[in-house]
Amino acid sequence: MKNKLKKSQIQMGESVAILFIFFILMIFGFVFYMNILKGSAKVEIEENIQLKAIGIAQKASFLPELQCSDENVRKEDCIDLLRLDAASNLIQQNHIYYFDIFEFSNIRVEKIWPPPTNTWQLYNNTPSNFSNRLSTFIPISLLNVTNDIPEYYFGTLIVEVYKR
Amino acid sequence: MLKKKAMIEVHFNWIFILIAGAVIFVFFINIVNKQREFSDIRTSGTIATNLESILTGAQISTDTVNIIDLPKVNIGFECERYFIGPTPKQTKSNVIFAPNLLKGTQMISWALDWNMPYRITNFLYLTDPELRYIIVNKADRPGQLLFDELPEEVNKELIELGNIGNFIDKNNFKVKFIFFDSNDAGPLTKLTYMKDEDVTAIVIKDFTSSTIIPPTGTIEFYQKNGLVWQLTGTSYYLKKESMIGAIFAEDWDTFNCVMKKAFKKLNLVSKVYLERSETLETAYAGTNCAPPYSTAIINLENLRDSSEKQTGEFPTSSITMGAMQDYATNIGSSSGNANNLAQLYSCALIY
Repeated sequence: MKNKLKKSQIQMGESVAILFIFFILMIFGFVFYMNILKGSAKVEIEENIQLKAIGIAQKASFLPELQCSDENVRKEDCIDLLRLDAASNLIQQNHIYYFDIFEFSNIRVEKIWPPPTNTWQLYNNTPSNFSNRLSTFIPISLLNVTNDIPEYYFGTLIVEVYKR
Repeated sequence: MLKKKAMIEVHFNWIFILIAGAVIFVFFINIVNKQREFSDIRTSGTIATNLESILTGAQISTDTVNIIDLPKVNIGFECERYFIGPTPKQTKSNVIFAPNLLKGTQMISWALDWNMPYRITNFLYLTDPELRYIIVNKADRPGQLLFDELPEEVNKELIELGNIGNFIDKNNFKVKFIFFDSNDAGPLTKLTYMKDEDVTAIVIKDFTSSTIIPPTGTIEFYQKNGLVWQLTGTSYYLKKESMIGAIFAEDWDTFNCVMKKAFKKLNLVSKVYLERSETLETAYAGTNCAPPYSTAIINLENLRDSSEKQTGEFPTSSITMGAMQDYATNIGSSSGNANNLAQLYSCALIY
């Protein structure tokens, strides 16, 4: 009788051990799967941030407040200096409105050639703590219409987008 | 005694199997639930990213129609926010005219430039191929013109007022009628089973010709109330693009709210053009170029002030819309207006 009891105890122990190993394997598999998912989610988040950075750069370079036009026909990659002067003040005065468009970013225009160089700060909302910064440099021409003959300068639109 | 013990052992085995089975079962149910939640979040995220890209694209390129394939999920639209499932997102400063619910597996997006006369912003129209738009035309009204303006991808139909008795229900989840001058409640008898809020109409007033869409006008918004149309509000449009906005907007409230956003942008862009014109006027003082800039400044000031008022008070009156259109015309490129004169004297253009 003692032998039978021992046998059934061993049998029970075996069943518990099998279940234990089964669950251990399941947990291992689950953790492994979750790690893979986490990795792919991280990549996706990174892609989204890059997409957002490109989006903000596009919005900045196509802003109606800045873009050169000829009878309302848009000139791509061209910024009118008079509009730039007006818009840089306007954007600072309407910071909340433009936050919807540019979020946490720093946007400026640099005149590179001919010298002297000059910088216009268009929008600046740099967070105090940020984990990453994505910079986009867009070569542009700057149009000056205050002279009798319109002049084009060479410059860069710099868009820095911050990830908090 | 031995038999009794064996019986207990057998019972215990079954209880053990039952508990272990239940634990395994609960474990898998948990995994499935977690996965479902994760996949919902992922789907919402994908749609949100796609919509963000559409909104960005709409601000850049115009006159573009896109059909976007979507997973089977409801997208709700309001003036200030949109919902992907239960997750809300801000529409921010984007000018979007859309029905309050898109529930097909496809979405149609269409972007048009709003110029006053310089580029202000792009209007984005979103709709569902399952949503039916019926233009009810009558003699001397531009129904055909309006029908041709709307993209082919939109589920649109043109019915002559005389043939409205032949209207048939096609089991769409929303139906919108576009009438000229006055509405007709005839088709409502065939849509009695539909919810009142899913059958809406607009009546566009002030049209006098079949070949011209006037730049300003009055729009009345209606909603089905049993077998009659109930007026929900009267508003106004400024330029064809905003009239089209009234077709795609869910209701009077949403249309007005979206138009206020458009007027805010008009106000900001006008300020830029005003400052620019003032600088040019000073730079070219005493030359032939100065008068066009002076004309532009007066009209830009008027546009700035009226748009500021409309940002808070729209809809005010059709007279205000007419006046704003006049300011825009005065700045414009048609013969004798400011930009035209600037071009004529070889001066820097106003826009």
